[in-house]
Amino acid sequence: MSGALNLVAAGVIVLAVLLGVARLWLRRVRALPTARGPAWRAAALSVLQLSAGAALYLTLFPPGAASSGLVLAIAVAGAPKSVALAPGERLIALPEARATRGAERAPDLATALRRHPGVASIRVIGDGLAPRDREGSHSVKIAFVPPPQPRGLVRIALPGPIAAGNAFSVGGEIGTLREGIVELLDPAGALVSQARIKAGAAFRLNGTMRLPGLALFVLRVRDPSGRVIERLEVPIDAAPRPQPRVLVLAGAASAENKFLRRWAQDAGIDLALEIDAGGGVQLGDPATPLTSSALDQRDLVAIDDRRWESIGPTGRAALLSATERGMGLLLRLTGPPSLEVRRGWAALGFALSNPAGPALSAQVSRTLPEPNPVLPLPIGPNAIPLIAGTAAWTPFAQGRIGLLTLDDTYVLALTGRGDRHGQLWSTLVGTLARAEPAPPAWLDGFARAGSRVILCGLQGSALVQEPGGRNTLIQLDPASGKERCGGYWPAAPGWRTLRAGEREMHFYVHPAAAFASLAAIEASAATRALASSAAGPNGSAPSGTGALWSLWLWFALLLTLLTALWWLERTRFAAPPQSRDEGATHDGISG
Amino acid sequence: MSAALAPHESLLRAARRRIWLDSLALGAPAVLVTAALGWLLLGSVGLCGLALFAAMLVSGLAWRRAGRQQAQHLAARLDGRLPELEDSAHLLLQDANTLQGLASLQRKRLDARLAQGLAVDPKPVWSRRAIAVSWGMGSVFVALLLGLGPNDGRAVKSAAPAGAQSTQAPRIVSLRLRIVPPAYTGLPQRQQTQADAKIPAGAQVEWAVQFSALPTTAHLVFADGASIPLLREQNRWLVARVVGKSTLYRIEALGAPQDAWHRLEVIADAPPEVRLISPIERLSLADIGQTTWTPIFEATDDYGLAASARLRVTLASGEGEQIAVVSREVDVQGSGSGRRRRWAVPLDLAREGLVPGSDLIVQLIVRDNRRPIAQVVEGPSVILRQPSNFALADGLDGLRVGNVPAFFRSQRQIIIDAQALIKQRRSLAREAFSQRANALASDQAALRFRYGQFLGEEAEGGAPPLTSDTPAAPRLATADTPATEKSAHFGGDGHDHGESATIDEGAINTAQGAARQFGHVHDAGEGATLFDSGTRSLLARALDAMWGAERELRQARPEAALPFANQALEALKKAQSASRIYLRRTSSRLAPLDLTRRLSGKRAGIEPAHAVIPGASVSQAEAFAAWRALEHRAGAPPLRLDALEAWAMANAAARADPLELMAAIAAVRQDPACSHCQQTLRAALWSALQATPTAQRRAGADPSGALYLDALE
Repeated sequence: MSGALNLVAAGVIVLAVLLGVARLWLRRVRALPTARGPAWRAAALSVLQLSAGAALYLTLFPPGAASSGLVLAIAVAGAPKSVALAPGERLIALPEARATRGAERAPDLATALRRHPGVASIRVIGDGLAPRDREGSHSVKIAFVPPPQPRGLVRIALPGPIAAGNAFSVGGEIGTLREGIVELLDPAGALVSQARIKAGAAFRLNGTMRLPGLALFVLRVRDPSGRVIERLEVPIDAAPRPQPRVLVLAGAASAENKFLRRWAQDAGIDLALEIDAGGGVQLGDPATPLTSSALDQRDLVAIDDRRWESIGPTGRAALLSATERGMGLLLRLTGPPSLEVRRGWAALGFALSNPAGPALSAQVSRTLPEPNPVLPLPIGPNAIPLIAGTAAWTPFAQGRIGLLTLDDTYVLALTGRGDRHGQLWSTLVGTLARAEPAPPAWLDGFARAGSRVILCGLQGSALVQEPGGRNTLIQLDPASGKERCGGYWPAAPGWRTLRAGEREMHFYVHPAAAFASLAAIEASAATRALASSAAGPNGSAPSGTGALWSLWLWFALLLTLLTALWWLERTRFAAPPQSRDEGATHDGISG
Repeated sequence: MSAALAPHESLLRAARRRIWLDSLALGAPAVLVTAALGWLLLGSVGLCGLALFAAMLVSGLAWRRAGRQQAQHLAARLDGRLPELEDSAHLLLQDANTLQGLASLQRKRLDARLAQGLAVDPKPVWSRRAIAVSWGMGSVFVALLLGLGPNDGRAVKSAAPAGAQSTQAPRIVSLRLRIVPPAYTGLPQRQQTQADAKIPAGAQVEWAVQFSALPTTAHLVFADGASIPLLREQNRWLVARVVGKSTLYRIEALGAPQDAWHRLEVIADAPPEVRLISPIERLSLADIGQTTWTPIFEATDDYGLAASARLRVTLASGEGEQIAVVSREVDVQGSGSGRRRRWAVPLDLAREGLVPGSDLIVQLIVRDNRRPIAQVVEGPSVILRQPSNFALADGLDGLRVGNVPAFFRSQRQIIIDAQALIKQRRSLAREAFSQRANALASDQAALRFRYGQFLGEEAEGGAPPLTSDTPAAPRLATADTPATEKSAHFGGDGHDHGESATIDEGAINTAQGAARQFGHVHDAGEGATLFDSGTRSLLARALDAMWGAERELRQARPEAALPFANQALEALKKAQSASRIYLRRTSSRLAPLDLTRRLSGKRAGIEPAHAVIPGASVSQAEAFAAWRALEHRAGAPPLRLDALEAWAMANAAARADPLELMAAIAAVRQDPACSHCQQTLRAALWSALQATPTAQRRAGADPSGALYLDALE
């Protein structure tokens, strides 16, 4: 930028000087030989103009003073109250260094460097440079001693959007805190879960978001004496989202289907149950034609082995093609499978090696979902186990196919374990159903008030809405390239809604004091990287004293030259206009 | 010399004094102004200090000005004033002896003039104008200073709003609650100064409030909107109210700052609890020879029980379809007092009419001493059963089998053995097979004899079954021997006394009775013409079947014996629970068939296959709306506090702490902008709401992931 300014100014000055010189010489050429002044005057004027132009340029852009030998000690966040300075150092405190005393205050690093232009190297004292100081090309050498690891949360994984009523987990790692307790509190302030932690240990806490909507849980790290080391708000986004549409194709009426429908009604899932009672009689909801358009409206199809046989090859092909396009397919085993079923399902990746069919009884279903499998699941090697011993799934193009070998999960509901029944089916539906459309963007890193928030994955224009009603349009940063990131600068903490088209996403901006340890670690890592890779000072020849002095020097020189120009132009050494006769007679006669 | 010709010192002194006074008069206003300034700035200390300082300054300046007055000024003034002195007043101020020549002549002339009465006044005139100006400006400044200075109470207030009775807002200085619990609880009165209170239901609460300044009116306002005025009595404001349920209240007075909500939690009177002390089981069987029975109940209450309780005694007698229930209630007195009482109820079984096959049910109904309406609790009921059924040898639980032996094979065992024998037919030789079948038949016969004895049939030659108890098997009451005394049929032998009573009494008017009385009875299954099948007892049918099974087994045909044995088992089982079988007498009524629609495949008009599950009885829609409205996000719906409050009041009973939500709503209503209040309301809603879990959706793959998944296939 400054280079461009230099060039522009230089261009203008050169142009003006050339015009002036040209005007001078043209006038001289055009004038009568007698009206021309002496040649030395014109020459002197040209030289003076050229040198005045040069002096003007040098006044505006004095050549960079070389290193003055001054080293700046920059105190940033985490700097102590009093800093020991080496000789030749000057202490500058940035706004984050609140505790440092007796330092010159500068709003940021660039200002400090501009105020002390001869500085070639700086020493950073504290946790590390803030993001605003790290960006931009500073041509100074950075010396940085990273501080010890902070005590609080050095790594944190916050949960993504979940459905209401489901569990979530928050995990992370602790820094150098010797021992302590990490707690999770619900929005009412009650303790949900806690864990003991040691230095460097990873923890994981689980909570349940009981209600739909947005809520803030609180993660608290305490030392053994009970003092709070760090407090972080865990934002949970359980905003209502469209529930999956499930189609159950049953080969016979059974209690299993009845309880499945009951669970779906309670959970708000749109479930259509079609029971084939044999002989052409169909019970339940009106039949859905197994066409691609109808199946694309469904997110999951659960089909019996008996129904699998009866829908014929066209039906099966339609189901599989819909699964390729993203729908989920759940195969349920309700009896000894016939050869055709076994062959068909083996082609999909589920090799049922036990011809006796479902070998599990209601006894087993009561013990779900403990992870020890009671009987080995006779399923092919590529299947991913979903529920130990009873269900597995494989991906199928963009969709997923799962197999469930239990046919009496309703026993869970009958024996008073309705919640387990719901969890079982919730897991099945959640894993296999069609994926929901992608959110409009995702948050890179964490969001804090007063810092830049990076939102990536933006398609087109995106709007961020604040609780007060203010809307901010997010500009895409072309430098991010494929990531398509944009920046947003929140001023106050709170929930924000990002809207792109008709999709929306909620994210939470934490208060400025949140993520203290994490930000410190990030700052120190980045500063260390900068320190190891920063270029030396750009080579300007050492020419003497400070820039200010040189500025005045050039200005004085410019003034002198301009004065000389002005004086020379005003006095006319040109010969007075005389006729030739007068000039001839003047020689002879005096007077 | 004349007095006028005083030495020039005195003249000078007079002149100087005049000048000094004049200067003081000029400078006094400045002193006053300085004093006023000092008083304004520093109070009385400043007043004195600055006044003193200014006075000293002014007098110093005055002294200097006076000191500048010299003799020549005096002479010049005198010359100017008195033309008679002919400009030679300086001669007067000198010593007469030192004057010579013309001067002394002039001096003498002046003396002569003075002697004629010339007044010499050396004093300069007052600088009146200057003094007037100085005093005028000084007074103006002082007035300004005093007028514009701070009026923080040093000055008397002059501006009062018209009509205001007091200048201070009334604040609550003291609040005293007196809680008078209802008389029946026996709790003492108490007083407290905290505004929150826990009181028993129905207590009267008296408030005594003192304000710092007298308001015009004061009200006690409750959370549900009710408001009662406080009555003034001297400097206290009193009100009393009987509080029935938990509520929030606050005191509102005109002009007073808004009071916070206070809680009145009501502890309801709990109903009494009744426990059964003895016997331990709720259903007990009467022992053999038991004549009295004493169940013991105990009741506890939080405030006190009524002295007498009602005992409900119910006798249910009869069998099968003919159960007669007779119930009576009687007042019983208990032991103990106050909060814990015990009732031991001795019952004479004979007087109650407990006959075999009947149940005696006893229940205690207890009331506490609540006023005006006592709470009545029916305690647990305890049953004493006099069993009528004979003890079946199948090992029944719950029926205390008195002396009935079980040392012979039960019917079930015979069936199992017959099945096992059938299976072993191939492996056994014919002889062994038929021997075993015969043995089984003997067992079946023995069983039949055993059961048959209860029906009064003669033993048909089989060995009497081995029993281990004495007395031996009851004496058979055959048709030959008259009915024996009652002692043959004792309470625990588990057979139907009703039937044997018929036999014993020899009721001749029935066919059976006659046959038994006067002849033998052989019960052969199909040929039993003397018996109508409607009245045959289940046991008789069982005996028939047993005879059929025995017959087949004796012929080494266990396969044919099995159906008979199963029938016998079924009949025995039914007999075991005979008094409790209820069969539908009429068939169910179905809708008539619509033949035009039958088998046509039309589904129109058919109700949806799944029953509509009734929604939750309590709709939480308003509370959910409020929860979403408090999220502090863009696009949140507006918060409707009225609907939320109505929902909270309607569902107060469902929550553990109903007042918490009400207090939070009231706080938000009072100060809509307070974010802390909104957080509290949100926390209260979190605790109060329930939602059913929904299914989690999985996140999709980004475009490159989708390409990969497609390429996999």
